[in-house]
Amino acid sequence: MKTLVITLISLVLLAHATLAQSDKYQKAMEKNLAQFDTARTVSSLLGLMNTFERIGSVEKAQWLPYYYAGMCAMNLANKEKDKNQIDSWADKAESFASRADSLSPNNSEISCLKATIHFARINVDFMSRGPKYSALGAEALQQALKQNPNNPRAMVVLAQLKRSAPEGFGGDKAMACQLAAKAARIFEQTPTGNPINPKWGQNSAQALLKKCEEPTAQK
Amino acid sequence: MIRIYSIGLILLTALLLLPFTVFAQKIRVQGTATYNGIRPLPNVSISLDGSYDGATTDDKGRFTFETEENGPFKLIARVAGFVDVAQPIELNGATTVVATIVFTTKAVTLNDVTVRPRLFDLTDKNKYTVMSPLDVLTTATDGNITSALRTLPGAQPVGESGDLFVRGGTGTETRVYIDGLLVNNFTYSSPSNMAARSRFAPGMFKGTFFSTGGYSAQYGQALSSALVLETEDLPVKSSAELTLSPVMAGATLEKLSRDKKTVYGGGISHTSLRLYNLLAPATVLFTKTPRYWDGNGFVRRQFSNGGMLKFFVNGGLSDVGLDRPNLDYEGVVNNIRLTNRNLYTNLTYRRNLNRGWKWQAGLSYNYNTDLTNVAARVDGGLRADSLVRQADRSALWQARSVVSKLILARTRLHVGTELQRVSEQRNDSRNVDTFLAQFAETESYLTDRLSARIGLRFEYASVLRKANVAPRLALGYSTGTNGLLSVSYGRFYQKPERQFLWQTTDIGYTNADHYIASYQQLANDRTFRAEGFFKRYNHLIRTTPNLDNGGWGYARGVEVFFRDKKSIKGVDYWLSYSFLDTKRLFLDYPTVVQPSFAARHTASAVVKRFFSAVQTNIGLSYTYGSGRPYVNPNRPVEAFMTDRTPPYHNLGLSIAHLMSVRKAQSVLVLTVSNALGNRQVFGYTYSTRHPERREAIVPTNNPFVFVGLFVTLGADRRQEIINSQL
Repeated sequence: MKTLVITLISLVLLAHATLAQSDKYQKAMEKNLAQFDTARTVSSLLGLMNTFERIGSVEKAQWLPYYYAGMCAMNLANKEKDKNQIDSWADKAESFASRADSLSPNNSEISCLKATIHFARINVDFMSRGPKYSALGAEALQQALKQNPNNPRAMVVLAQLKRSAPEGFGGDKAMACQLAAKAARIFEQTPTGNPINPKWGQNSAQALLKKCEEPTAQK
Repeated sequence: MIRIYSIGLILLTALLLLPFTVFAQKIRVQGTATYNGIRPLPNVSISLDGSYDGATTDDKGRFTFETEENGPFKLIARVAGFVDVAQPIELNGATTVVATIVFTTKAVTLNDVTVRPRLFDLTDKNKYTVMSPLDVLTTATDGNITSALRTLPGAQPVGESGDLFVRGGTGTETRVYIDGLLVNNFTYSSPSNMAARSRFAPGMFKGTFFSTGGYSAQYGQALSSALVLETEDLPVKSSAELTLSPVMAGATLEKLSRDKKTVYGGGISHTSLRLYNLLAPATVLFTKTPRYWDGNGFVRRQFSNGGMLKFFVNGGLSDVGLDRPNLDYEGVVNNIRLTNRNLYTNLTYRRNLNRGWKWQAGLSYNYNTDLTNVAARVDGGLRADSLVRQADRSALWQARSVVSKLILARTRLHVGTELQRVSEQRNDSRNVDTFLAQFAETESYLTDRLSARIGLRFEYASVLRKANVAPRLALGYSTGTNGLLSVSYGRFYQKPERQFLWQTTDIGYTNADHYIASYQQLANDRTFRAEGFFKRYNHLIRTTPNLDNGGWGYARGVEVFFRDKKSIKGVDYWLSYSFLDTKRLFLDYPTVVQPSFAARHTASAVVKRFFSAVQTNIGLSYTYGSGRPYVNPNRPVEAFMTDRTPPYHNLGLSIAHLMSVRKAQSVLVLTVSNALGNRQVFGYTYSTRHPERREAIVPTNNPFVFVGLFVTLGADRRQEIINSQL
């Protein structure tokens, strides 16, 4: 009887510890993602990047902390005004992306993140970097869509690329609109799962769709 | 029994409540992070090792966070540019714990060593960006790398040659290296006083480093300047390109393997000025309009160990014939016919070895033949007895190996060896040289702001039976975030040119000492550079009274460069000015004078803009050169080289329009050199028998207009995958 109780207690203890840990992770992620959704300033993004990195260094099996740390670094690269510094943020973002990649190989969301990092590098010098990095980005998006044909984020980013690139260099405004429409449809139909999974992109899809409906866009 | 159960239940409840009771005690950790206790460091990531807790420092280096952890911990601080700091922290009892973090060591990545003040780095990775390969394409009005470089300070506008004349040096004082290996005959051969184009397409190179003096000990045998070109690595995707123009047609194919680790391909092109010459006759009378056949092939492979192997072969044939009036005999015309064959191969391998060593090795073979026939044409017929044939053959084998390693944390050491076997032959005169060079060089940070490059190069040439040792030194001091002040010194040796070695090998190296001081400011998309130099030439070759090393000379000057991509939205422009004061005694010069290839003032302005509404890039470049000296035999010896040519003006125009031809990316290009049609005179050729008779040396085509369509066919299936998504 005694042993039974002890076993029971040990079991409860163990289950509790694990549960508490995963609960702690879930809570910490939710809390920081709430900040991430509204983060606009460099200091808030930087703080969040460091926080996600800390969570990642403890939660050795979770890819999401590094994914979000990479998202923060990618956003910092896009916000960076000093063109000599863009690459160092992009390098940082890429190292987070590859850490996430090693924890969750063949992940469509991570491929999509990698694409956005390539696009961020174009800002260093549009004329000389455009062809190379837009091709690399397009390739990463292609990979993302191969890994998950219904990844709406990859579709939105691809739509933005198709819209902005010159025709003859992969640009296609009509296709951009079709992709945005499909992405918007998926966003609406997909049930909201675990709130810490990637969920960004819906606003961009709507904004792009709105541009498509304007008569000027139908050139 | 019941007691036991109740105890168990109580325990269970207690356990469930445990996290909310025992660990609910929060401790505040706060403090500051500084560099050496003085400079506060912002953006430092502070973390309590093994927990989620931590913070990021603010502008004043302060941080604060709360934690529920308890016991001894490690506090880790990380920030870019410094070595991480880890220190123990005790979390118990106190509600506030103060931690002071002091960074003491800067992390140095040797990529950042910026002691190459005079390198015009044309890659975009490096901060010393001045031009990218795209810049070369949109600046040069003839697709030549050297023409684009002539808009940078230090290069002289010497239009009668395809070589680069730098800071009072001759064209042969600039040597070209591809992936570390010397290239002989970088340009095609051409009859005298006619500029020849480069044998290599600018698109092949990802980086173009143009040093106008004081260059590294890794290179040698160039008195004035080194042009270091780096070839592309692996492309993003397979592609094919077609080039169509009234003067040329070409096709290249680049195929990327499935695993994206190997790329192979090649291309051919044919250039003929026949049609162009019919529409706009050249200033010379061609009996055979220039024709060029080019072919190349390449394989590049990235190995799983990180090693990179590159093989490249480039071959060409060219043919030109022209009539030039014989100034000595009226009614006589000299017919010149030049046929060139060339081959260049380059095999390089680089990889990381154990214990931080990096290794770069290369092998190359260069072959060039020029067959020149000169015959007199009298009354329309060629005089067979007047025919002079000249056959020049040169071959160069070389091997090079360089190892480098980060030593002492702040220094990179490079050690290398080069071995060359050179054969130069004209008709029956021939000499062969076995040339050995060894060098060692360190690049290091002495302090956070002071960097140094110290190198030594040893060379031995068997043809001269002489060795030399050349020191190279550069110091850089960073002033603030964007400024760099630097000084450098170097000695540079060069073998006498082949035409002298055919006559005698009892001569020695020529050499030059460079002293350079420069300041540059590199901010966002803006570059400013000012440089002053003094160059002393020693032991230059004289041909009169005897062939010996009795010549000497000097060059001094000031150069200013400014590039701005920011001030005017969408517009990229640069301005450069060079002042050059140089004199030399060499060849058959009777006195020390300013040589014919040196202009005292040179200035150029380049402006480019991409008009996105019409998908067109328009570029304008303007170059000015003050009059250059020329020899007028009608003058007495005291007045040697006192005449000056008219000033040189050249306005270049380049328009590139992006379009799609049947869905393929295409660029339609129009370039015009000397768009205003200014008369350009590079010098005069005088008759030896009748010195009152002379002929001006002028460009072959003035202006020259090029129209071409470049079509890129992406050989990938990206589009299909996207289509399947819709």
